[in-house]
Amino acid sequence: MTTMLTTEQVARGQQLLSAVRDGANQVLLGQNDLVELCLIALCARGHLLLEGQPGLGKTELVKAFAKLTNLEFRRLQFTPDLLPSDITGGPILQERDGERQLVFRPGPLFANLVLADEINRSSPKTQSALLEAMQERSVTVLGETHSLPKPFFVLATQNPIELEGTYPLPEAQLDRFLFKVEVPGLDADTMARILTSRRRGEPPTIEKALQEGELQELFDLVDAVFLPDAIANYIARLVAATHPARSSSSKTSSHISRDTSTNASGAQLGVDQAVRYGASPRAAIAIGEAARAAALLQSRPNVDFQDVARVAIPALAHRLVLQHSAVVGGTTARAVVEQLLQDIPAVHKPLPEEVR
Amino acid sequence: MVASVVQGAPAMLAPVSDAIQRFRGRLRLAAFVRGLLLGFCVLAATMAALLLAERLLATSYLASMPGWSLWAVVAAGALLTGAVIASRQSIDDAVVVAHLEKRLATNGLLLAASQGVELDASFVQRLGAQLGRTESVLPTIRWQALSLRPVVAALVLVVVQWLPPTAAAKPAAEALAIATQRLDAEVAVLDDRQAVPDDRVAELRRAVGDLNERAAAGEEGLWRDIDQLRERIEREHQLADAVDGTSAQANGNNSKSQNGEGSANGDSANGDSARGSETPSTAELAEAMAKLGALDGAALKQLTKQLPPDLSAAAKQAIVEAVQPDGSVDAAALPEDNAARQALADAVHAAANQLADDPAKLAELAAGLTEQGQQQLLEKLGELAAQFEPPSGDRGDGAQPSAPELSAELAKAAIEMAKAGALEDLPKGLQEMMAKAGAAALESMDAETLLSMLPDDLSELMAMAESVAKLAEGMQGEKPFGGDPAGGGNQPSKAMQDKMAALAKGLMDKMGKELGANPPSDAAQSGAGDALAQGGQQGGQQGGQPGDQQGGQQGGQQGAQSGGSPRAPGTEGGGHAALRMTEDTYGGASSAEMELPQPELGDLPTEWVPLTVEKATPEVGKRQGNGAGRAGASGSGGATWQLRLMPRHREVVRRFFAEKKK
Repeated sequence: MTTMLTTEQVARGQQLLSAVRDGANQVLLGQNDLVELCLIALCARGHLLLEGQPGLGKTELVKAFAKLTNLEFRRLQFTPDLLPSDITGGPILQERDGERQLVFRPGPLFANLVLADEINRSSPKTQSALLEAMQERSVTVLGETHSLPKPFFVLATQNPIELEGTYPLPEAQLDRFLFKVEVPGLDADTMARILTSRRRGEPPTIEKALQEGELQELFDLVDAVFLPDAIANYIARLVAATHPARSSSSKTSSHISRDTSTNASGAQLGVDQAVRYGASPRAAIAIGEAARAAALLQSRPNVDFQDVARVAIPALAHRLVLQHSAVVGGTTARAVVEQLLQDIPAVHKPLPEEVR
Repeated sequence: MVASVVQGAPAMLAPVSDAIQRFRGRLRLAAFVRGLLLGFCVLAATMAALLLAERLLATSYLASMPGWSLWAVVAAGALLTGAVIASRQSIDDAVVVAHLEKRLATNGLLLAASQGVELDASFVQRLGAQLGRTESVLPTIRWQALSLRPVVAALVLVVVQWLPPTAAAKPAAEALAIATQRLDAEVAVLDDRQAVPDDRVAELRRAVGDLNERAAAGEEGLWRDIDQLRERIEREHQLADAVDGTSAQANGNNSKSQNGEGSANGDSANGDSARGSETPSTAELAEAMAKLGALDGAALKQLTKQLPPDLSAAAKQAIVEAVQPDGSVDAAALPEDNAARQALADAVHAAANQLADDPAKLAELAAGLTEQGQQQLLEKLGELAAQFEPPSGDRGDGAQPSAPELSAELAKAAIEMAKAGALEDLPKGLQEMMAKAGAAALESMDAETLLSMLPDDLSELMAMAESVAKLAEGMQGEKPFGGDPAGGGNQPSKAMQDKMAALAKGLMDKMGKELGANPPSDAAQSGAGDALAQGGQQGGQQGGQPGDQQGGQQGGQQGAQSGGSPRAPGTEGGGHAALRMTEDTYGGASSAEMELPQPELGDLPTEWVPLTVEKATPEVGKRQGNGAGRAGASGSGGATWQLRLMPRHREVVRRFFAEKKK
């Protein structure tokens, strides 16, 4: 018999999460949703891609999380001339026991929390060096695989406005990020608070929120959150509906409208017209894990439909490859996912028409 | 699913399973209602359709049943349909739980509990509180949407049931019997009038009796016969009315001096007394002619029906007004126009002929007269027509005949030739011309008009010339006219001779032109020569120069000797089939070899032109640039230049470059 989290366990998880969340909110003012999404990504043990204009506190947020979670933190500033060995490490010639041999020297990737700042400025070659690290949690150099420390997170940032001299992340790389979160701008009140509470933009000094082993305890609690079959079915139908071929033929998409987005001219575009490639099964897994963390963050022992709706957009939007026509027409992946959330019914079979 | 709940969470069994069952029960009830209303709708509509069909087919199986029984059948069927649909409804428990979860908003606790997950006590309590309001979230039946069609169907059934009963249609046999009874009564009335012979009345009675028998036998298609018999009886009535009126008048006019042979019972008026005598009396003829002159409305209608339909109403009225009661014609009442009078005469002739051909009509018009009397009536009609004839013109005064007279003579000649069987030998063109001349006999036709009717075909012209020669020969007193050449009779007039001469001359001129344009073969030329010689001979003879007749004949004979005996063109005499050049022949030979005139050759050059060898100076065209942006360029700009934008992208690209300019 499956046992759900008890009230005490849920409260414990809520306590740990609140500590981290409150600490991050001290560093990054006025970004509660962003902080919670980052916390959900950490609890789901996924990688996070933050996209936003410079000066919004992306790097500071990552550093704060490293501090709060008591994880080993490394920062990598990605530049066009950065080489894979610069981040993974490489062999160096060392003299041991009177013999000279190549000894692997770990790079900055060997840390619990790696900040890949402006990740899109490095060459695809260097970006690809992160593929194995992010998925396998290991690095292979000269045929020798080196495991990365656990937990391992990559929190990357990228600037969406300075596109010259950048290399957009390949789809395989994007798919490895659990969330891609767009960092919103700040309102005037928040900026006023920053002006009055920060001098020279220095963040406040924070203490670690989680002690040794508490992060693992948090992970265990997240894993114990129950995911009902109906919710899993909903997630599966949601992800399947992002595929243009399935959106018109699959049973799950029979209830959705084909008009999933509106382009700049006001014309409605369906999934077939707007999306070239849908999300992968990895997206469904990511949504399920993130929904668990979101449920625990809401003090629930099980996942609900609203948890899925909360994490669907950051988990799915960056995994959709849109048609050029849709992009030129102003359609965004976020709009597509929002429309899918509206169109896909939570229950796959509607009630008979004679009742309401 | 519920079973898993039972196994996994005994504490949750009651509230969760109860909520699920209640939700499911509501769905089943809704399905039953839907089936009930659907079945009611279908059955009520079907019952209404059956009732209507019964009215159309004149059966009353359902209509004879009591009204409540129909509704009972509909209700029973509806209940059965509802029960079947409700029993066949299958909704998965997971679907029921998911819908209940969405309605109760238990934050997924119901989903987890339904899957057998053991919940903490506090969560159980929270879920129990949520399940307490299950009743308020149960699905509701959409009565308004479901009941619309059944209500309409019920109204239709009610209206159909309340339709008034159909009127009892009388059987067709009864209607036939009524119609024949009426006919019998009409015949009885006719018999009572004693204005119709007994044998005719008996015949009508037999016809009515025959119709009665056929109607009793159930034979179909009698209505047409009934109508025809009714019309016949009506005609008999009209005839009897006419006889009654005219006999009364005749009795009044002749009671003093005539009709001593008539019987004393008054039947002499309708001709019974006259049947015994072979020759009708003058009074009877006068009476018959008086019918024509003093006809009442119905008889006048009968007479005008006999007249040709193309005769105008005014002409018909003129006939009626001109005929006097004694059968004579009042000349003052006749139209002055000769053509109109001739038309009237023709019309009366035609009417007389028509009456002569149709004894029934004659008997109808001249009822009471014997056959001899009817014949005399026809003769009178002929005389009447003769009186309508316009006075003929004087042709023996030696004056020059007019062109219409010439044409008439030509037509007469054609008629005589036709009588002698020689007209068919004439070529088609001449036959047509003769026919046209005959048709235009009353019209003016001069020689030029006659010549304009000549055909364009050379072979036709030659054949026509030959025929003209024959015609002219016949005009000389030989066949086919058969009259005495010196004694007049069929001797053509001088104008006719002039016309023939003009025709021959026109033929020669036209053949000469045609020969110049299309020279025929030698045989054809010889035949044409024959015809022309004869034509010329006749032209010379008929040209008003009797002294030159011998010379003309000699010339014609010489022409005949040079071309052989007169025969069809292209023939080699007896034993050879005639080779006639028809339009098809010329059409097939349109691509025949033809010698073109030689071009005029210029003078040869007198100076020598030296031959020189020079180096060629080819002109090289300018090489087209193939830089970037041009079609076919190898650079990257070429691809950009050739890039085709989809219509929906053009506005975006245009906007992009517009922003760049800013």
